[in-house]
Amino acid sequence: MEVVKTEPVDIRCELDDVDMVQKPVEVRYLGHTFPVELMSCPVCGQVYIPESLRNKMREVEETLENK
Amino acid sequence: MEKDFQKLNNLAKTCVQSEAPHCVAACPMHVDIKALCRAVATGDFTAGRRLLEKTLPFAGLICRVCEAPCTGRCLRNTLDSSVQVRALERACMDRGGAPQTTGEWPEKQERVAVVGSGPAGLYAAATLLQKGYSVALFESADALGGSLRGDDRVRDVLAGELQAIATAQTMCNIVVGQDVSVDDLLGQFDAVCLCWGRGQGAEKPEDFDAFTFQHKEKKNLFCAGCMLGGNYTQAIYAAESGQRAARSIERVFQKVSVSAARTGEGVYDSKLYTNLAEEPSVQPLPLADDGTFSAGDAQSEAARCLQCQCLECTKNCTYLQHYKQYSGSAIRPIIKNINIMTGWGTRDANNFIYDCALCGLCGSCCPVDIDLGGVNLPAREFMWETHILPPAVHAFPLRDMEYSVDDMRLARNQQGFEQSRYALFTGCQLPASMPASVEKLYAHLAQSLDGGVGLLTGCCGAPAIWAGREEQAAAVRGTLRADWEALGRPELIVACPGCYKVLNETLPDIPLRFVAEVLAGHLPAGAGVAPGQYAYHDPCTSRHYAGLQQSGRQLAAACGAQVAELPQHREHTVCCGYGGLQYHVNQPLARKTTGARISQSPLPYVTSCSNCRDFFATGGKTCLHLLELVFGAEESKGSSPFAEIDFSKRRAQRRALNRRLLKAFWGETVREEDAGVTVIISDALREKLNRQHILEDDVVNTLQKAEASGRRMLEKATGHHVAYHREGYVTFWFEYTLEAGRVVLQNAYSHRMQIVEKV
Repeated sequence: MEVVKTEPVDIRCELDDVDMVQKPVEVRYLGHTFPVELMSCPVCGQVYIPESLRNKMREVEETLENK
Repeated sequence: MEKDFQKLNNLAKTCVQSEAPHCVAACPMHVDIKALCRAVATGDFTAGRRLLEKTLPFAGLICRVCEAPCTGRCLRNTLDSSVQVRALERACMDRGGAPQTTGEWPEKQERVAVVGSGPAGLYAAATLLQKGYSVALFESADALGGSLRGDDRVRDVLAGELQAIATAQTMCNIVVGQDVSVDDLLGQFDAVCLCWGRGQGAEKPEDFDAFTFQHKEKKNLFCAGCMLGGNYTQAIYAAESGQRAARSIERVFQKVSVSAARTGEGVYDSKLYTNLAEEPSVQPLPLADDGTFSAGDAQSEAARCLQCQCLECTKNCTYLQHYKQYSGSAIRPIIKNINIMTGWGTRDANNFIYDCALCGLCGSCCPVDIDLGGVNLPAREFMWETHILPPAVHAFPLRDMEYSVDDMRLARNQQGFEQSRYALFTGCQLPASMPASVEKLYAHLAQSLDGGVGLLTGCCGAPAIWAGREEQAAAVRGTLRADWEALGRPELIVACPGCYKVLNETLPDIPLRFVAEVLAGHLPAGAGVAPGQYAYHDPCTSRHYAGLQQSGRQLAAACGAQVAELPQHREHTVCCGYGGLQYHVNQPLARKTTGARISQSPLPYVTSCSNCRDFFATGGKTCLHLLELVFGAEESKGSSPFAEIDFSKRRAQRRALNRRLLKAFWGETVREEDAGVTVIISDALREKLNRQHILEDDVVNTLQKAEASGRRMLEKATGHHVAYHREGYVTFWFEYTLEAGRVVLQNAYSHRMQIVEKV
């Protein structure tokens, strides 16, 4: 499966005071798990999903909901 | 539900929309008269001629001699008089250009003797020839045509029309029975069809099957036409019997059942319903002396055709119009949708099932009582039970329901009373929408009624019912019942018609009275603050409750309102867009539903349901709640056309109302919780929050936690802090800035997928 990647964003984790980097994470919905690469904090793991990705996610959500 | 699938399939079969128009059912040849009239009305005589020639051999003859049984069944007869179909057919044949040649089937080896060349013989011969069989046509006279030969109406066209059977072997001047016996013919031919006049030959009509026209013993002997007597002495019936006998002959040749699966042949009764209530009378046009129409008159006459169809459900329902469906057409896709094994196909009808307002209007309009909500609701229940209805679909309204039951519910006896003779049950949305009215209502009831008036807020469970979650609805009802018992089993004065319906159906032992009935009998001094003319909107939940409909009108009248009726009222009323959670799953459709209702009258509306009032307000329609007629208008709603319903404001109003009620009637002071952070939200963003079902509480809670914990991000390009939070089945994202100690929301969005963080 092609891994969805987001464009790199210059974003910083304010909790750990470090720049976030692209890292593989997973998203889950209705029993399905998808690998994605998102901007993530290398220390605490919090991730960033930009609004532009939200619209693509909605399409996938709808496809899964109608399966 | 599995066991009900067959029942639902049978329900779909009762829909009359797919039935033939009565004229077509009455036409032995089943000419598509509706399509013919459509073509002629637009002046397309060529299309009309093609249509006739496709269905009707010898159309040039039949359009002159047909007895037109269609006209006897034309629904126009109840308005003025039937459409003159035969003259329209004639106009098509005269003005529709050159004849069309029909394709013929490959030549076959079987040979058929057709005895007699009147309408039945001609149609039998033409049908068999067209199918590729060889035909010998026996005629006792010296030329073909039988009874048609002496008919002045066809004198000019008979010879030309007979060209259709030019390939038949013509055997004139042969009297079957004298020159050659029927049995001889049966020996020489593969089949014989007797289409001669009554009383000829030894065979009797009763020797033949009444439908297939096959001889009961000699399986390759058939009959048609006048010898059958009755209607078959008329040209059009005789013609059809010839065609039907030819089809029976073909079945014998093909060695298949002569009688199986032949529904639709011959005249039958149609169950099609067509509502003529709004149809104007249009008088028929006179024919010329020769029985014809001019082209223009033919067009006008064809336009009188009612184009019969039912579609009572679709005509009245925005949702069915949106999906271009009618109830009968929708049921099978619903069954298919919920029957698909997971992973084996796409559930194309999910949204269709979720979007129905479950309002019952289609059922009240349907001539056979098909209520599509009665299919969609069990479908939702089945989908929820079998885990194919995603929880996120109805998460927002159910979260609101939980908030109503868990956080906002009050169950109190009136101060000074150990138990309550009555209790006001507000439901969940009335306090959210009209807190001032609720406060005034409770004060008035507590003062006017003896025996103690308790207060019950909370929820009736309707959102859970509509979401197909019966278990959750039952739990809500259980809470309500426990509260009711704790108050001493009072009679409930129900302020919401939706709650009234749910309680009446699900907790039948709880005595109920609708608030309008109580108020009409105990009108407060000063009621009637907004006299004037209003159109009364019946909430869809009151569709089957004449008492609610009547008491609402009576209360409005008692308040000085002159009440006019909307075109669709009482049992035919229309949903506002909230029913069945339509607004929560498909806002654009709900807006259409709202828009359709508010355009029905220029008068301001009055209604007994706060949801209807608020949805109409979103469309820019002035609509007062009955309580506003009694106690005065709530503060300005300040809504612009199609502004979103402000769910956050509704929560805040409920909290404030509960505090006021507790203080005013029970002397209790409840302090407002300090969120710890104040968030500035622009009007545009507030609209987006409501559209995406994000509550201001979600914003505040998330940002309060982010600020307290420091767990947030900084997008350097915009300078926005970013924080996210998972609540139930949704993840919320907020971008914000900190300006002079204030939190300013810059953006918000949400998704249903869950992120699995990895360190």
